[in-house]
Amino acid sequence: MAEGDTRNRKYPFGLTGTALDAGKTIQKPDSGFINIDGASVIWLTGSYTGSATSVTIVVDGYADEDDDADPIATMTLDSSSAENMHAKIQVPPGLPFMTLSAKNNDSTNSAKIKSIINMVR
Amino acid sequence: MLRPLLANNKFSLDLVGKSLVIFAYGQDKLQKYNQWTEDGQKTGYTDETLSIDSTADDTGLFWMIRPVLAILNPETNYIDYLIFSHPIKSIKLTAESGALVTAVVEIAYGTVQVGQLFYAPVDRDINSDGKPDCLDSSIIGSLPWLLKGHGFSYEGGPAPVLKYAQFLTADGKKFLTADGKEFLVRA
Repeated sequence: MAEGDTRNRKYPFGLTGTALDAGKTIQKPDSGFINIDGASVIWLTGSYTGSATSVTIVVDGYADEDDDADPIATMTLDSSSAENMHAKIQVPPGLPFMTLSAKNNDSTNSAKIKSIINMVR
Repeated sequence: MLRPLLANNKFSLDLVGKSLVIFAYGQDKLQKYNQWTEDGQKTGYTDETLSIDSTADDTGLFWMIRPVLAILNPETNYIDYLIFSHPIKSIKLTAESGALVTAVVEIAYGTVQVGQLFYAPVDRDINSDGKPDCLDSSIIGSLPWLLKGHGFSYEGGPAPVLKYAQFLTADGKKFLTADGKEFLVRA
Protein backbone atom coordinates (compact mmCIF):
# COMPACT_ATOMS: atom_id res chain seq x y z
CA MET A 1 0.00 0.00 0.00
CA ALA A 2 1.34 3.42 -0.89
CA GLU A 3 2.44 5.67 1.98
CA GLY A 4 -0.45 7.74 3.29
CA ASP A 5 -2.96 5.58 1.47
CA THR A 6 -5.91 5.31 3.83
CA ARG A 7 -8.37 3.76 1.45
CA ASN A 8 -10.24 0.72 2.60
CA ARG A 9 -8.94 -2.25 0.66
CA LYS A 10 -10.34 -5.74 0.67
CA TYR A 11 -8.87 -8.90 -0.79
CA PRO A 12 -11.69 -11.49 -0.65
CA PHE A 13 -9.26 -14.20 -1.72
CA GLY A 14 -6.23 -12.89 0.14
CA LEU A 15 -3.17 -11.08 -1.15
CA THR A 16 -2.00 -14.10 -3.09
CA GLY A 17 -5.37 -14.97 -4.54
CA THR A 18 -7.26 -18.18 -5.03
CA ALA A 19 -6.95 -21.12 -7.39
CA LEU A 20 -9.88 -22.44 -9.41
CA ASP A 21 -9.94 -25.68 -11.33
CA ALA A 22 -11.03 -24.82 -14.84
CA GLY A 23 -12.06 -28.27 -15.97
CA LYS A 24 -15.62 -27.11 -15.45
CA THR A 25 -17.32 -23.96 -14.33
CA ILE A 26 -16.66 -23.43 -10.65
CA GLN A 27 -17.72 -20.47 -8.61
CA LYS A 28 -15.77 -18.98 -5.76
CA PRO A 29 -16.50 -18.67 -2.96
CA ASP A 30 -17.97 -22.14 -2.94
CA SER A 31 -21.15 -20.96 -1.30
CA GLY A 32 -22.67 -17.52 -1.29
CA PHE A 33 -21.29 -14.37 -2.86
CA ILE A 34 -18.42 -11.96 -2.65
CA ASN A 35 -19.74 -8.88 -0.85
CA ILE A 36 -18.71 -5.86 -2.92
CA ASP A 37 -19.18 -3.67 0.13
CA GLY A 38 -19.56 -0.37 -1.67
CA ALA A 39 -16.48 -0.65 -3.88
CA SER A 40 -16.82 1.14 -7.21
CA VAL A 41 -13.65 -0.25 -8.79
CA ILE A 42 -12.24 -3.76 -8.58
CA TRP A 43 -8.79 -4.81 -9.72
CA LEU A 44 -8.79 -8.33 -11.12
CA THR A 45 -5.56 -10.24 -11.61
CA GLY A 46 -5.66 -13.49 -13.57
CA SER A 47 -3.26 -16.17 -14.69
CA TYR A 48 -3.35 -19.90 -15.28
CA THR A 49 -1.21 -22.98 -15.32
CA GLY A 50 -1.72 -26.19 -17.25
CA SER A 51 -1.66 -27.17 -20.89
CA ALA A 52 -5.06 -25.76 -21.88
CA THR A 53 -4.90 -23.38 -24.82
CA SER A 54 -7.45 -20.90 -23.47
CA VAL A 55 -9.36 -20.11 -20.30
CA THR A 56 -11.94 -17.47 -19.39
CA ILE A 57 -12.52 -15.82 -16.04
CA VAL A 58 -15.99 -14.34 -15.60
CA VAL A 59 -17.11 -11.91 -12.91
CA ASP A 60 -20.89 -11.96 -12.47
CA GLY A 61 -22.91 -9.37 -10.59
CA TYR A 62 -26.09 -9.95 -8.57
CA ALA A 63 -28.68 -7.53 -7.19
CA ASP A 64 -29.60 -9.99 -4.45
CA GLU A 65 -29.36 -13.68 -3.57
CA ASP A 66 -32.21 -14.61 -5.92
CA ASP A 67 -31.04 -12.53 -8.88
CA ASP A 68 -29.82 -14.09 -12.10
CA ALA A 69 -26.17 -13.51 -12.94
CA ASP A 70 -25.20 -10.64 -15.21
CA PRO A 71 -21.57 -10.59 -16.34
CA ILE A 72 -19.76 -7.39 -15.41
CA ALA A 73 -16.26 -8.36 -16.54
CA THR A 74 -14.45 -11.07 -18.45
CA MET A 75 -10.83 -12.01 -18.97
CA THR A 76 -9.80 -14.58 -21.59
CA LEU A 77 -6.23 -15.80 -21.41
CA ASP A 78 -4.21 -17.89 -23.84
CA SER A 79 -0.86 -19.57 -23.44
CA SER A 80 0.96 -16.48 -24.71
CA SER A 81 -0.57 -14.18 -22.09
CA ALA A 82 1.76 -12.73 -19.52
CA GLU A 83 1.91 -14.42 -16.13
CA ASN A 84 -0.44 -11.95 -14.47
CA MET A 85 -2.94 -10.05 -16.55
CA HIS A 86 -4.96 -7.25 -15.02
CA ALA A 87 -8.39 -5.78 -15.59
CA LYS A 88 -9.99 -2.75 -14.02
CA ILE A 89 -13.65 -3.47 -13.38
CA GLN A 90 -16.08 -0.63 -12.91
CA VAL A 91 -18.84 -1.90 -10.67
CA PRO A 92 -22.39 -0.81 -11.55
CA PRO A 93 -23.48 1.65 -8.84
CA GLY A 94 -25.05 -0.06 -5.87
CA LEU A 95 -24.32 -3.61 -7.00
CA PRO A 96 -23.97 -5.60 -3.77
CA PHE A 97 -22.73 -9.08 -4.76
CA MET A 98 -20.55 -10.84 -7.27
CA THR A 99 -19.08 -14.23 -8.01
CA LEU A 100 -16.00 -15.36 -9.85
CA SER A 101 -16.13 -18.31 -12.21
CA ALA A 102 -13.64 -20.00 -14.49
CA LYS A 103 -14.21 -21.78 -17.78
CA ASN A 104 -11.79 -23.98 -19.66
CA ASN A 105 -12.07 -23.28 -23.39
CA ASP A 106 -9.98 -26.36 -24.18
CA SER A 107 -12.01 -29.57 -24.15
CA THR A 108 -8.91 -31.76 -23.97
CA ASN A 109 -6.35 -30.19 -21.68
CA SER A 110 -6.77 -29.07 -18.09
CA ALA A 111 -5.99 -25.75 -16.46
CA LYS A 112 -5.87 -24.19 -13.04
CA ILE A 113 -6.70 -20.52 -12.85
CA LYS A 114 -5.29 -18.23 -10.22
CA SER A 115 -7.09 -15.01 -9.49
CA ILE A 116 -6.67 -12.10 -7.08
CA ILE A 117 -9.37 -9.54 -6.44
CA ASN A 118 -8.52 -6.16 -4.95
CA MET A 119 -11.50 -4.01 -3.99
CA VAL A 120 -10.94 -0.36 -3.12
CA ARG A 121 -13.40 2.12 -1.74
CA MET B 1 -8.47 2.24 -19.76
CA LEU B 2 -10.06 4.52 -22.26
CA ARG B 3 -11.31 7.80 -20.82
CA PRO B 4 -12.87 9.99 -23.50
CA LEU B 5 -13.22 13.64 -22.63
CA LEU B 6 -16.41 15.23 -23.85
CA ALA B 7 -16.31 18.77 -25.22
CA ASN B 8 -19.07 20.33 -27.30
CA ASN B 9 -20.66 16.90 -27.55
CA LYS B 10 -17.51 15.56 -29.23
CA PHE B 11 -14.59 13.48 -28.10
CA SER B 12 -11.52 12.03 -29.77
CA LEU B 13 -10.35 8.41 -29.71
CA ASP B 14 -6.74 7.37 -30.33
CA LEU B 15 -6.75 4.55 -32.87
CA VAL B 16 -3.03 4.20 -33.59
CA GLY B 17 -2.30 0.48 -33.78
CA LYS B 18 -5.91 -0.30 -32.92
CA SER B 19 -9.10 -1.25 -34.70
CA LEU B 20 -12.47 0.47 -34.55
CA VAL B 21 -15.41 -1.93 -34.52
CA ILE B 22 -19.01 -0.98 -35.19
CA PHE B 23 -21.82 -3.47 -34.65
CA ALA B 24 -23.65 -3.27 -37.96
CA TYR B 25 -26.53 -5.04 -39.68
CA GLY B 26 -25.19 -7.92 -41.79
CA GLN B 27 -21.75 -8.25 -43.27
CA ASP B 28 -22.14 -5.80 -46.13
CA LYS B 29 -22.80 -2.68 -44.05
CA LEU B 30 -19.98 -0.50 -42.77
CA GLN B 31 -17.74 -3.30 -43.98
CA LYS B 32 -14.40 -1.87 -42.90
CA TYR B 33 -15.60 -1.47 -39.35
CA ASN B 34 -18.23 -4.08 -38.62
CA GLN B 35 -17.87 -7.00 -36.26
CA TRP B 36 -17.39 -9.51 -39.05
CA THR B 37 -14.10 -7.93 -40.10
CA GLU B 38 -11.77 -10.48 -38.53
CA ASP B 39 -9.67 -8.43 -36.11
CA GLY B 40 -10.69 -5.24 -37.89
CA GLN B 41 -7.13 -4.66 -39.01
CA LYS B 42 -7.79 -3.87 -42.63
CA THR B 43 -5.58 -1.51 -44.56
CA GLY B 44 -6.58 1.11 -47.05
CA TYR B 45 -8.34 3.45 -44.65
CA THR B 46 -8.69 7.08 -45.69
CA ASP B 47 -10.03 10.19 -44.02
CA GLU B 48 -13.75 9.63 -43.84
CA THR B 49 -16.87 10.79 -42.04
CA LEU B 50 -19.56 8.32 -41.01
CA SER B 51 -22.95 9.91 -40.41
CA ILE B 52 -26.30 8.94 -38.96
CA ASP B 53 -27.88 11.00 -41.76
CA SER B 54 -26.52 8.57 -44.34
CA THR B 55 -27.81 5.17 -45.43
CA ALA B 56 -24.74 4.52 -47.63
CA ASP B 57 -23.43 1.02 -47.09
CA ASP B 58 -19.87 2.18 -46.37
CA THR B 59 -20.46 5.30 -44.28
CA GLY B 60 -24.03 5.26 -43.00
CA LEU B 61 -24.28 5.08 -39.24
CA PHE B 62 -27.93 4.35 -39.92
CA TRP B 63 -26.73 0.74 -40.09
CA MET B 64 -25.40 0.57 -36.55
CA ILE B 65 -27.23 -2.28 -34.82
CA ARG B 66 -26.56 -0.88 -31.33
CA PRO B 67 -24.97 2.37 -30.13
CA VAL B 68 -21.76 0.63 -29.12
CA LEU B 69 -18.18 1.11 -30.32
CA ALA B 70 -15.32 -1.28 -29.61
CA ILE B 71 -11.63 -0.50 -29.92
CA LEU B 72 -9.43 -3.56 -30.28
CA ASN B 73 -5.74 -3.44 -29.50
CA PRO B 74 -4.17 -6.49 -31.19
CA GLU B 75 -0.86 -5.82 -29.47
CA THR B 76 -2.11 -5.84 -25.87
CA ASN B 77 -5.37 -7.81 -26.39
CA TYR B 78 -7.33 -5.21 -24.43
CA ILE B 79 -10.72 -4.17 -25.79
CA ASP B 80 -12.13 -0.79 -24.82
CA TYR B 81 -15.83 -0.31 -25.39
CA LEU B 82 -18.21 2.62 -25.33
CA ILE B 83 -21.95 2.26 -24.79
CA PHE B 84 -23.98 5.27 -25.84
CA SER B 85 -27.41 6.04 -24.46
CA HIS B 86 -28.50 7.44 -27.83
CA PRO B 87 -27.44 7.01 -31.47
CA ILE B 88 -24.11 8.52 -32.51
CA LYS B 89 -24.44 11.54 -34.77
CA SER B 90 -21.15 11.21 -36.65
CA ILE B 91 -17.66 9.72 -36.54
CA LYS B 92 -14.89 11.62 -38.29
CA LEU B 93 -11.96 9.33 -39.02
CA THR B 94 -8.43 10.32 -39.91
CA ALA B 95 -5.94 7.91 -41.44
CA GLU B 96 -2.26 7.86 -42.33
CA SER B 97 -0.62 5.38 -44.68
CA GLY B 98 -3.87 3.42 -44.85
CA ALA B 99 -4.19 2.96 -41.08
CA LEU B 100 -6.64 4.68 -38.74
CA VAL B 101 -5.19 7.39 -36.49
CA THR B 102 -8.08 9.09 -34.70
CA ALA B 103 -11.85 9.09 -34.51
CA VAL B 104 -13.80 12.16 -33.44
CA VAL B 105 -17.17 10.96 -32.21
CA GLU B 106 -20.07 13.41 -32.10
CA ILE B 107 -23.27 12.81 -30.16
CA ALA B 108 -26.34 15.02 -30.16
CA TYR B 109 -27.12 14.33 -26.53
CA GLY B 110 -27.06 11.57 -23.95
CA THR B 111 -24.32 9.81 -22.04
CA VAL B 112 -21.53 7.38 -22.73
CA GLN B 113 -20.37 4.53 -20.52
CA VAL B 114 -16.88 3.11 -21.01
CA GLY B 115 -15.43 -0.25 -20.07
CA GLN B 116 -12.63 -2.63 -20.85
CA LEU B 117 -12.08 -6.36 -21.09
CA PHE B 118 -9.12 -8.57 -21.85
CA TYR B 119 -9.33 -11.18 -24.61
CA ALA B 120 -6.26 -13.03 -25.85
CA PRO B 121 -5.81 -13.21 -28.76
CA VAL B 122 -8.32 -10.73 -30.17
CA ASP B 123 -8.05 -12.19 -33.69
CA ARG B 124 -8.82 -15.82 -32.81
CA ASP B 125 -11.77 -17.29 -34.73
CA ILE B 126 -12.23 -20.74 -33.30
CA ASN B 127 -15.44 -21.56 -35.22
CA SER B 128 -14.12 -20.06 -38.50
CA ASP B 129 -17.25 -17.99 -39.09
CA GLY B 130 -15.29 -14.89 -40.08
CA LYS B 131 -16.12 -13.13 -36.84
CA PRO B 132 -13.37 -12.99 -34.18
CA ASP B 133 -14.29 -14.79 -30.98
CA CYS B 134 -13.96 -11.63 -28.91
CA LEU B 135 -16.88 -10.17 -30.96
CA ASP B 136 -18.95 -13.35 -31.25
CA SER B 137 -21.99 -13.38 -28.97
CA SER B 138 -21.93 -17.18 -28.78
CA ILE B 139 -18.49 -17.17 -27.12
CA ILE B 140 -18.37 -16.84 -23.33
CA GLY B 141 -16.13 -13.94 -22.39
CA SER B 142 -16.66 -12.02 -25.65
CA LEU B 143 -17.74 -8.40 -25.69
CA PRO B 144 -21.29 -9.08 -27.02
CA TRP B 145 -21.66 -11.85 -24.43
CA LEU B 146 -20.62 -9.43 -21.69
CA LEU B 147 -23.02 -6.77 -22.98
CA LYS B 148 -25.97 -9.13 -22.77
CA GLY B 149 -26.01 -7.99 -19.18
CA HIS B 150 -26.93 -4.56 -20.52
CA GLY B 151 -29.91 -6.01 -22.34
CA PHE B 152 -28.18 -5.98 -25.72
CA SER B 153 -28.56 -8.72 -28.30
CA TYR B 154 -26.13 -9.04 -31.18
CA GLU B 155 -27.32 -11.50 -33.75
CA GLY B 156 -25.41 -11.62 -37.01
CA GLY B 157 -26.66 -12.60 -40.41
CA PRO B 158 -28.32 -10.65 -43.18
CA ALA B 159 -29.76 -7.21 -42.71
CA PRO B 160 -33.37 -7.27 -41.55
CA VAL B 161 -36.14 -5.67 -43.51
CA LEU B 162 -36.41 -2.11 -42.32
CA LYS B 163 -39.52 -0.02 -42.29
CA TYR B 164 -39.37 3.70 -42.83
CA ALA B 165 -41.75 6.39 -41.79
CA GLN B 166 -41.91 9.89 -43.16
CA PHE B 167 -43.27 12.98 -41.50
CA LEU B 168 -45.91 14.54 -43.73
CA THR B 169 -47.94 17.68 -43.35
CA ALA B 170 -51.74 17.56 -43.50
CA ASP B 171 -51.70 18.30 -47.22
CA GLY B 172 -49.34 15.38 -47.88
CA LYS B 173 -46.16 17.39 -48.28
CA LYS B 174 -42.93 16.37 -46.60
CA PHE B 175 -42.25 17.82 -43.19
CA LEU B 176 -38.65 19.06 -43.15
CA THR B 177 -36.13 19.95 -40.50
CA ALA B 178 -35.04 23.55 -39.96
CA ASP B 179 -32.11 23.02 -42.35
CA GLY B 180 -34.32 21.52 -45.05
CA LYS B 181 -33.62 17.83 -44.46
CA GLU B 182 -36.20 15.06 -44.38
CA PHE B 183 -36.99 13.19 -41.22
CA LEU B 184 -36.20 9.50 -41.55
CA VAL B 185 -37.37 7.14 -38.85
CA ARG B 186 -36.29 3.53 -38.60
CA ALA B 187 -39.09 1.38 -37.24
